[in-house]
Amino acid sequence: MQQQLSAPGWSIGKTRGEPFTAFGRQVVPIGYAIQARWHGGGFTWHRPLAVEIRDGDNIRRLPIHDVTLEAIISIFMMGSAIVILAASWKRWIHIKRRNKS
Amino acid sequence: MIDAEKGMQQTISGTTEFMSKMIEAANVSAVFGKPVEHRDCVVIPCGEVAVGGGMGFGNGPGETSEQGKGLTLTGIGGGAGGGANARPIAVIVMTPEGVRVKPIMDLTKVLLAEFTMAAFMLPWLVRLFRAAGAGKGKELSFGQLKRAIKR
Repeated sequence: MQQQLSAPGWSIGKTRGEPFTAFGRQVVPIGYAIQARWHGGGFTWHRPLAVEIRDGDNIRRLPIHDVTLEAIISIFMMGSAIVILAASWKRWIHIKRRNKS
Repeated sequence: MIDAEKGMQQTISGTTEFMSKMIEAANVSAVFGKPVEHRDCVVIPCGEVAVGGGMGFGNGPGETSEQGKGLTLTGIGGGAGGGANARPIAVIVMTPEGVRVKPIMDLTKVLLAEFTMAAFMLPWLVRLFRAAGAGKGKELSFGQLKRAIKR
């Protein structure tokens, strides 16, 4: 790792955790990591992506959603949409009034 | 001078090692916690981890001392900083019936985002509606009337 820190570079990819078995099912956690390294520093962002469930021959994936981030993004999108709509409505009324007069 | 450089090298290697350990800590085992067995179910907590840090060291020649003894002053300096952030995202619940992912919502963050958005939106909307209302009535305000009389 020390060598990694001194060698600049970046990597993006999926990571797999230790498989865990319970109730006859095997769960494999899958994560998503972004790593950046530069001389004398580095940055890592790691988040869970999904879990892979192996039930006999069946393999299915359960995605893990970050509801907090989704809620924050939707709040900002909605707020921006309200402001943009109000501004365009006001402009439309202004044009309508000017055309009347 | 040699002692200072030696000390600086030691500090650099120590800080590099510390940062390596910090970045190494943000691995899969930090994202997915250890499974916790409770009654008839197994719970695996999972969260987001972000770790970052940086450091810089340097030295440079300074001015020759005033006494003229041929001594050259040098400066050595450095700094380092870093941070880590971890927050829960969801829990994986394993029961004999099946596996479920239960998301965790950070209500404080959501409320903060709502207040920030409201603080951004309100002045905009007030300005918009004030401007829309100004065009409706053609009556002169007191200030405008005063200015008109003065002219």
